[in-house]
Amino acid sequence: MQGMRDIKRRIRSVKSTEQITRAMKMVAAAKLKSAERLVNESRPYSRTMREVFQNIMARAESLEHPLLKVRNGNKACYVVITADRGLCGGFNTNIARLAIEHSPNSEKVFLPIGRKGRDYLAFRGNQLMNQGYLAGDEPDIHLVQNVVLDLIKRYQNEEFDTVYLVYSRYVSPLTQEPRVVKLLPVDVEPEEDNKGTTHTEHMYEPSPDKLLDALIPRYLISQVYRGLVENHAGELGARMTAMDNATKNAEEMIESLTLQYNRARQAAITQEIAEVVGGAEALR
Amino acid sequence: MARAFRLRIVTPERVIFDEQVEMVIAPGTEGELAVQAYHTAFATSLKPGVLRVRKDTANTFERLSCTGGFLHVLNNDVQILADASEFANEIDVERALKARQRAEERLVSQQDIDVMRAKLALERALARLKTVGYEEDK
Repeated sequence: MQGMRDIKRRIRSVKSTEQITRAMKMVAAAKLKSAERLVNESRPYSRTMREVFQNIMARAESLEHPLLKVRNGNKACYVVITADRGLCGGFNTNIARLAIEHSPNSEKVFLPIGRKGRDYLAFRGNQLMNQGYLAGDEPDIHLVQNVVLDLIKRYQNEEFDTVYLVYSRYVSPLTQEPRVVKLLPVDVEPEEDNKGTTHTEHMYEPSPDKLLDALIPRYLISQVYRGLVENHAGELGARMTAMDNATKNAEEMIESLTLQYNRARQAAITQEIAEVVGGAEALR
Repeated sequence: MARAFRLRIVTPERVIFDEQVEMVIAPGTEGELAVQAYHTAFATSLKPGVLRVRKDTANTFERLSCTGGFLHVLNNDVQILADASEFANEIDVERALKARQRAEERLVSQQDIDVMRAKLALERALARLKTVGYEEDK
């Protein structure tokens, strides 16, 4: 059996770890609230954007637009959104792995947003488009604007034939769902929950094809931004869960160590008594 | 308020405005336009400029900046998708002035810069300044 002092030292060390994980959990929980608010507040924009977009697309089906045309090439770019920081369970790994495993036959280049994803992808020898970006503490719309405009430019230069976005959808604080969304060429899937809004004939100003020029970049920006926002909330949720588990494990460990400590103490006392008794016996 | 309609101004980050109004005037790319109740289904892109909103004919216009975006009318429901938008009293005039100066300097210097981008930055700054009534005629 370990010495009492060793056990005591271990208890102390586990306790301080527990304090840290508990604090991290609280911080994540507090931040999660504001991140959740951001998810809710950014929803109307992306929803409306999609509606307007679908409306115009329904009307403008015959339209030729370079960003709508499907190309036959095999080169794909993956925008992979992860967190900058770890300690959130399998959150980052799940996203990065999905990005690597998705459509294995294409020639891939990755554009990571978030340090963890970049490290993961780079470590496994995947080709990165550039140094990637940090996700930052708060979703940053300006970053998204720059990234998307850059992507469109490269897409038009035919550096790649498709662009995918990989991120984690925020379902609830306990559940995140890594998913892949196609960005380019833009295809607008018909709305599943069509709330009886039959496509009304619209007046467009300027013409629908000119409107698309302005609309597509913004549509993409709203999608990527939404990914960033959901990912941010998901990261915090995952961290909260991970840290909660860590805290619970630490508590369990302390409990069993305390038990061990008490046993050792009891054994020491018993032994001492036995020695005293034995000594007294010998003197008789 | 018989002839009112619902106006929503949303940016990627949040909902700026969501109320019943009587009229909104917006800077369309093809020219300024006003929307009142029962407008036909309509969509247009917006350029940087001022949004003016009136809740009632008796009221004065409220002013918001808009750095470009879209306006969409459907079934007496108007949605403005703005890249960024602020109420006049939320605008940081100092910052807008600096942004204008920076953009103007860039345009003058003409050195390996993205002219398009500088021009857009300038327009955004001017839109904000115009919203607070700074430099009404430029």
